[in-house]
Amino acid sequence: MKRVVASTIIYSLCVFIFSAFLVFFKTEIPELLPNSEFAYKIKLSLLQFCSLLPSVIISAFIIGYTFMFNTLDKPIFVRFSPTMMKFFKRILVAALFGSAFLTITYEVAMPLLQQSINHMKEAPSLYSQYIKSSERYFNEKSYIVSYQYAKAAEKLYPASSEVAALIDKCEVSFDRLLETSVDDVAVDIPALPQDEILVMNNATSYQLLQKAQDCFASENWIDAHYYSMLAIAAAETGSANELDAKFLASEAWNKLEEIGVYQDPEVETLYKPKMKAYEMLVDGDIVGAYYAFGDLAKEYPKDRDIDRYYAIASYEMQQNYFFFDELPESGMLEDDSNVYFYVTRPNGSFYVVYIKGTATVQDTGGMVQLLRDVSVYQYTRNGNFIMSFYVPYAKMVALPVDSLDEKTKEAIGNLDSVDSVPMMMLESADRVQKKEICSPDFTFSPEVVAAGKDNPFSFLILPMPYEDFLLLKNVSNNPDEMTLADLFLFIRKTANYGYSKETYLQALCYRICLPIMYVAILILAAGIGWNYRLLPGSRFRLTWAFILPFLSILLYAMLNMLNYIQKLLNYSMISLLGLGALPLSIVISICLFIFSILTFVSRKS
Amino acid sequence: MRSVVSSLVVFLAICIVGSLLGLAIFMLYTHTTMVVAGERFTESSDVSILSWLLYSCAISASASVLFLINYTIRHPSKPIYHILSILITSSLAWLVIIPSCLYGAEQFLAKDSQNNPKMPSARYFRLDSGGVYFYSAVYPDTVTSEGIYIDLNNDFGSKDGIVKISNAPINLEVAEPFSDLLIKETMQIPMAMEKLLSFYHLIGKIALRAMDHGFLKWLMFASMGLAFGSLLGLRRLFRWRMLNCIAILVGFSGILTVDALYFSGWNGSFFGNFEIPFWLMNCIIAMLLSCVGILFTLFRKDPNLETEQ
Repeated sequence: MKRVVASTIIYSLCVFIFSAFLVFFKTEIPELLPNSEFAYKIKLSLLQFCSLLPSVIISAFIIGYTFMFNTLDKPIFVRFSPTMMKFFKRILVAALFGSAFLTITYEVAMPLLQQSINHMKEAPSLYSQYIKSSERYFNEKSYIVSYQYAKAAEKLYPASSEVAALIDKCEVSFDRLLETSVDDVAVDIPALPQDEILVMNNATSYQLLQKAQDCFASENWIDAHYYSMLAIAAAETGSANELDAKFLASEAWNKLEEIGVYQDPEVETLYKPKMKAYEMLVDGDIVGAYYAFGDLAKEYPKDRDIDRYYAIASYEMQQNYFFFDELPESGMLEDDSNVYFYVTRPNGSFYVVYIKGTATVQDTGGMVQLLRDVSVYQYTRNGNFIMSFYVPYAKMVALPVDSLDEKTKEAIGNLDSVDSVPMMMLESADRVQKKEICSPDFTFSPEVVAAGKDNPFSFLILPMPYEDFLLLKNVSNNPDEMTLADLFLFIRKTANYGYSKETYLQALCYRICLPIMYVAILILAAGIGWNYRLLPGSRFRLTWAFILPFLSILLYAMLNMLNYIQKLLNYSMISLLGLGALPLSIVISICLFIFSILTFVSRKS
Repeated sequence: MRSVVSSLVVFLAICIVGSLLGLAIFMLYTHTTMVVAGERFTESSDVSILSWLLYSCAISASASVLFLINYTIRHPSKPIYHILSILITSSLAWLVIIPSCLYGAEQFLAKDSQNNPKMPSARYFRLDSGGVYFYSAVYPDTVTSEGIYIDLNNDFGSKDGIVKISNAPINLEVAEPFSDLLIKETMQIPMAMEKLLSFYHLIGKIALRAMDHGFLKWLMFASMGLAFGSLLGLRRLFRWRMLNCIAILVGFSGILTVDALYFSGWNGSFFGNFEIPFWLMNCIIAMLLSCVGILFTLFRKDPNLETEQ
């Protein structure tokens, strides 16, 4: 057995050197970032070596076994003799090790190498995209965002002078900002305390009315007004609470206006803009109120009302919009790109979703994702176009199903066993500067426009479990690039999201049966080694070692052909049996394994 | 004598197993070419099973000599018996089995083997030429589709990277020979298999032509069988059985390559001086290999014998 292992290792090294030679001198390398060529070539050599590995190992085993059986001094006269059984134990162990090694190469080493090579191939284009984005944001004066993109580009290509220049530019702009006005530095948005949020969202109209009355009693007119407005919204139309709240609200407003009339000049300069901002908030112009209070907070940092209503305005703002400078905060480097799938709604229509890049926000357990370049197309049950939109940035959060109201639950379908669904927030704003809200670009079909239903919206809830979205991020067009675990989880859902069950199930069948097949083949290799063993009395001549490459080439061709036939068999079984093809293919592999064992132990001289 | 009989038995077994295997693989292949993503398999193909059985039989018979010589290496006996076995089985193969199989296969070939290309199914993502097609609806009557094309490489320069497809014609040939592009992508035919298949396709046509032109022409074609049979001469080339087997295999591939060159138009001329016709080339090869075999038989003990007995 030592000879088997030794010959395998030596031969493998030779083949690796050969494949490295081919890569370094004969293969064309695609465009890469500077200084990454050598690493790329080494990885490519390793990858090609890994694809040759099965034929290398099997042929080395065969030749090794021909030596090993040379040591047998007594001929074997019967089939299934005890000597063969003894040999069989060692051979089984060797076959198991060999198969484990080959499976690990195929399932772990090759995907890692392939991924790394793909990253290196994509790096130049990603790098130029980051540089472009950084420059664009710089020109729009969003220096923080620009800086983050520049940093991301630096991570890809640290030695770049272009990136260093960009980073310098950003840092200078920060300094310049600080220089011009200390007060212009962005103020920290105060957080709304948790119990306040609870009150705003969950309190009954009666409780809110109580609060309003308490505030009125302590002459806190603005809070009294605010709580009574909330009470009006929460109350049933025409109820006693509503009437009371309306009355209180108008009283509080009158009191507020009175202050406006009798006041000293200092308070007046604060009063007018504060009331203006507050009016915006109450009228529903959240965006206006947010920026107005933001400006006020910079000028009057100590005013309690401003603080409180700035917090309320930002809370409301974040319910409806997200800040697009959140994108770089996720630690950049998108973790997945080119995600596409379709999802059907209960009424038969379906969305087709395409996302160019996704980035998981850190410390959220994957529950918050930032999406770049999102396009959604909606079709009727029969495949006719309804509407589409495109938005450069969107934020996706996991929305708990429990928090949805009945109407929404109906619209997204029966998802009883589902914890949360993905919700896309489509409108984004700048955190500090008042700029245009970035909202989606809608296109509606003529029929929809004629029916008057062409209303833009700012949220999209996808009728699918949130975990499926995370799974779809890992789905690749080539099932061999997915991990076995992901493949298992995905297999039942493929057609629901636009992926062919046939191709993924075929890949799953193949990869599950692979270890068993390798064990069977390595045991057969022992059988072949026995059949062609070196007869005692003949010495092995060194020139005979040239047989190994021949054998490997022959085995490589045969393994490829076997692979092809196996795929044909898998597809036929899948089209007839569906998911049942998986257990059947495992059974077939086990039968082959048993056959190989019987073949070996029945060898005789 | 017993070894001759057992060789005959092995030959028969090879032909039978080979034909069944060939037929099975062909049926699996035909089945797979009709799989479309998401659709249940309903059609049964109208290819003639008998025809393909006979083709496989002919191919196995032609390749049987390889296995038979291998058998004589593993079960050696007197040289005369080996020669007799190969002679009988090769004659049987090339003068009886192959011509009758080819003739029969031609008779049973399905006359109407028209392939109606199938429509791709809607609601699947298919990668094709740098982008991803998604059909929201397909219309078999007009062979058009609705949907989107996701432009991964931004070849079309659209802002969102998507091109809307409306009433666009579907290219049904893109998935050939399969019915669905998704299946085709995963089934890359290995190079060795492709070469072998194209070789046998060519040789089949030539064989049929030879058959039409009479017995003499067929004999000239069957000289290939003579060359294959003479590979027996390589039996004792090395002192190790494994090497002998590999040598036979290499010889077989060599003869196949030379003959394939003839089939693709070579006229057998070296250095443009004189032409060697096909049958003459094969006879020369046969003579050379036989001489090698005779020499080795006379001057070397059979290394394939298990000396411990």
